[in-house]
Amino acid sequence: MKNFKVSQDQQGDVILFKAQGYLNDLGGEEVERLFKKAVKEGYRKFVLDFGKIAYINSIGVSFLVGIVEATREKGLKVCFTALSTINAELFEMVGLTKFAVTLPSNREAVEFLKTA
Amino acid sequence: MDYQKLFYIFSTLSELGEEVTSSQTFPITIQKSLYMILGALSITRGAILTRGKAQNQLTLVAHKGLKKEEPQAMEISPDLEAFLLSQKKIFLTGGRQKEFRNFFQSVTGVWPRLKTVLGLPLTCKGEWVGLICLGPKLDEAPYTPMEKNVLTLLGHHIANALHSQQLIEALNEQVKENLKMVEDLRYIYDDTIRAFAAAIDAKDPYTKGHSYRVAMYAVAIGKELGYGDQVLEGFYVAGLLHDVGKIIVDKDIINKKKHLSSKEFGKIMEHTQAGYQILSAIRFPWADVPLMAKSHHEKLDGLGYPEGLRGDQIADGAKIICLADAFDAMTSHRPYRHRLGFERTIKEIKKNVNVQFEKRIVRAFFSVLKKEIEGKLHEQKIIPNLDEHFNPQIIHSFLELTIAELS
Repeated sequence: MKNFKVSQDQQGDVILFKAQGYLNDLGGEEVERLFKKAVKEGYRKFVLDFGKIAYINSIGVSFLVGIVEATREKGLKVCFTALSTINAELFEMVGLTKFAVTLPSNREAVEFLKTA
Repeated sequence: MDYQKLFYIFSTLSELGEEVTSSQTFPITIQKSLYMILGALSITRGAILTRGKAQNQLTLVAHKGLKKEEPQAMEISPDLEAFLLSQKKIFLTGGRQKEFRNFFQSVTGVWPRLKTVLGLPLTCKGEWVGLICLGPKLDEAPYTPMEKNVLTLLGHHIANALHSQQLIEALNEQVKENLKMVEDLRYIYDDTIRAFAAAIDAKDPYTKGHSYRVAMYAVAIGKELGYGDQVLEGFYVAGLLHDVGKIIVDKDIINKKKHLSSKEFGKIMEHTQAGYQILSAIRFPWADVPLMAKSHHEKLDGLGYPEGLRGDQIADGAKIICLADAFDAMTSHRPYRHRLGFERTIKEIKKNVNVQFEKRIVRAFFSVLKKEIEGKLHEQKIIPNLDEHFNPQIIHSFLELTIAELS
């Protein structure tokens, strides 16, 4: 992984993951790992912020598929935010948006999850 | 499939091709390759398997969706293994064929979390190299014919990576076997030379173990002088074989308790030349073994034999063997005299610096002795071979003083 970071934040009962860089290598496993750890700890609402993600390839998609599958299986809620046009199209194409809501900002996502 | 999806698949195919030819380690490459396949078609989980080292076994080389503690391999029946090895095309769960049902049951039995619904055999140059087990897609829709074609294409790249890895592993195994064989040969070689040296020493009951000790001392001196392992090995062999020429000398002369006549001494002197001739016929991997045998009785002052060489005309190795040989001779009993004892021997050696022995080599030898007395060396090669009690303080002081004098 040349350039990928993920940080975790919390707003109420919502866990926010802010990813940064290129989601195209094994380093991206960290997103899925942190997500599953938070699920184990009992959290049920998640926001994944892609505002600072430059590129996502099939490796990155495989981690997101893992996250979305877990939310579907366990009845969790997940929102993707701040997607660039190209990433929004990618998410649509690979079917991620069928199982997760996409919203422009984290604030809107947190609001949405409050009522979800 | 729309053009966007097609572009995405092509990108994945291209990245996968790049990945399998990258210089990354195999576990990283294969894991990334699996993620690419899963991400390309939004597949939730999957695993790549190859034949295990044991018969009738499939081993995990990459997976997603399994936990760490799950089995790393699955046993399969010989029939199922034979059947899988014959498969070249994708097969899906729900098929009618009994063997496919057996396969999916077996995989699910070992790795239920995989939820395997599709098997993709990996072949390279017509040879079965592994298998990809895939779970359902995220949308749980059945795999379309187009997606199966995509998987087959991606599978080709992974099959190449697996095939290369298997070749590398086979090569590594071969290298290991060869190294083991070389090691065994070295033992045989070493044992043979030692047996030969023992046979030479056996001509004279007083020289039992002499050649081995000379070899050990020569290595100790050479090491102190800074020679590398390859050269030291040459010193060791030369030490063991330096007296091989004695094979031509009559046993009665060797064991004679009285002084030798000049004719008898002449015969003894011939052992250096004979040794050279015997050893020259052997293709040693080390330089100068025959020369060390020939020149180990040469003296710096030119009064040695067989050629009366002086100073720099004598090879370093021969000078080292000469000192090691003399030290062992003086500290051992001989038919015609008692041993000199350690203290007298080192004094005698000092007396003969620049006459018989080179100063630099004596200094190195004394330095090893001093270090051995101080217990500074991990492996002692000289002191343990001296069959006598001595006062270490007296010897140490003498050595220290002499080393300073010779510096």
